Amino acid sequence: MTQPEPSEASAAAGDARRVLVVDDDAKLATILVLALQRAGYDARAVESGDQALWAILTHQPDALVLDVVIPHPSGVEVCRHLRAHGWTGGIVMISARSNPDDRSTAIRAGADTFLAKPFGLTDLIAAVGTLLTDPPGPPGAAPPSR
Amino acid sequence: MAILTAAGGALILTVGVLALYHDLTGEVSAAITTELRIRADDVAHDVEVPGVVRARPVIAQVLTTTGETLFPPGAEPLLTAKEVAAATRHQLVVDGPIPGVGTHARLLARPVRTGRYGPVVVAAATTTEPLERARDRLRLILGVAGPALIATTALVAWLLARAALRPVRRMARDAATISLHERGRRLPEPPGRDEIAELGITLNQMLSRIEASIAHERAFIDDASHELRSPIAVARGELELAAQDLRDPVDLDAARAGVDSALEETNRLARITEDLLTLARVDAGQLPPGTAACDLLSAARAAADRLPGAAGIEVRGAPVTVQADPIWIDRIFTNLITNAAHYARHRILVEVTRRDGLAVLVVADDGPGFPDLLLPRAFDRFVRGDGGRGARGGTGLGLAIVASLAGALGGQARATNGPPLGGARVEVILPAAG
Repeated sequence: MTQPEPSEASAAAGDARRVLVVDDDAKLATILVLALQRAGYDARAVESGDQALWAILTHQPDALVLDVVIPHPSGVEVCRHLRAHGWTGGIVMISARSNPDDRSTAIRAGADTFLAKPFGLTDLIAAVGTLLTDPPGPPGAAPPSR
Repeated sequence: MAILTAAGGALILTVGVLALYHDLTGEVSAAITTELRIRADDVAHDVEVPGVVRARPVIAQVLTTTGETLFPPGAEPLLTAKEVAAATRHQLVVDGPIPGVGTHARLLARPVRTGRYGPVVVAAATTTEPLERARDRLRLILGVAGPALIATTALVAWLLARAALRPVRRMARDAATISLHERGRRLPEPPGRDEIAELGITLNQMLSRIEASIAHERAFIDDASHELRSPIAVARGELELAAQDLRDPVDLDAARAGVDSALEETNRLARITEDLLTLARVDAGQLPPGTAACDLLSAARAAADRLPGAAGIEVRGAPVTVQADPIWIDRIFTNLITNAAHYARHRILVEVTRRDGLAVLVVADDGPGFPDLLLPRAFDRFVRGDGGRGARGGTGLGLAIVASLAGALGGQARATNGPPLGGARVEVILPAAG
């Protein structure tokens, strides 16, 4: 499980909303986690569907940023499994493929929203923010650094 | 098709009816002529016997070569002078009205040499009324019943052809509505083992091949899209973070790191793009024709020397020449050696040999070798042995380019594990020159 260190701000604010990034592209996962941390979320990343399911049990995130194409099980399978077992957290599905069916497949599997790569970090933060109604971490804190 | 069958049937029947008419009337006519000839022979025989000329029921005469009637004496000659003259040379058959015989009659005259009278002409005539009546009757029957028979035959043939072609029409109807987006949909296959059933099977097999080809192309587009968009996503993210790092509070080191990372991803994107374009050119047959005699051993050494850490690369073999663009040969060696360098522990071997008129290139390493599941797909596009999509080692197109170039140059590529170094082994075989 790869993850940047949680930011001081989000770690200090115990009620910061937790977001789990699931993407086997380590570099992109690091960027997304950093962007989420700077936005005040307690964010971390895993590389596979198996790791995601385990992290959901152990860290209980409030939302997922879930790539469609990840090592077994796939992002769609993870989403379907979570919804079938009553998980109510927010799910933002992301994908770099050009398959037009990915968006509808993701929504049918239970994703709340779908973002096609390359997306802007502000779009991601906005999508996560929409799913998590409580405000993120305390204002005025220093943004997490690389 | 059904109309052609009906027309063909009608034509055959018409020809058959006409042939039957011609044959029947011809037979009857020939029978009349034969009868006349027999009677003429009888008369010729009787001429030798005084007082006897039997000709019933055929009217007969015996004439001199000058046209006078010998028997019956004083009878009006049946032949004109011209006809007598002809009949002195060969058998003559004349159809037409003959006085004393009838409007429709046939006369046969032939030369005969007799002992008593010397050369004479024997003529026999008989009515052909039965023949004419038979012809008229046949014409009437065929004229009335023939068209009805032909029309009925055509209709039956048309109906039979339509019934036989019904499965083909059904296939054509379904084929017109099949969309290649409907996976698995096939044409209805008629029962049986005839040609139409075989056509249905063959068309469905063709649809399966087309569907597989489209699925393969879609998978490639998906993969290419992923491979191209991923570095763009990373570069964009890095630049957005770097922009944040340049705002208050400024973090120059972080911004610099972000920009460097974005640049790295941009370079990676450029490599992937170039590789895809190379593959596209090779697939489109835009590979330049062999323009030079390339020494493979020299090309192998040049490619190995360019690679950092070339000390661990052993190049050996004999000079072998192929006719190819040197750029593509260099690309083959570069891709193979780069790929081997990514996995080798300590050693890489590049070997060039000639075997049975072929140039054989081998690049082997002492690394872990191709994963078993990956080996059959080693030359597929975007297949990596180093962790799949997340890894940032190569573009996943290096070996695919090697295989495409080898094929375009008239050769082939093969991947195995094992000797000579115990790791991966890639062999490329090309036609040797000279």
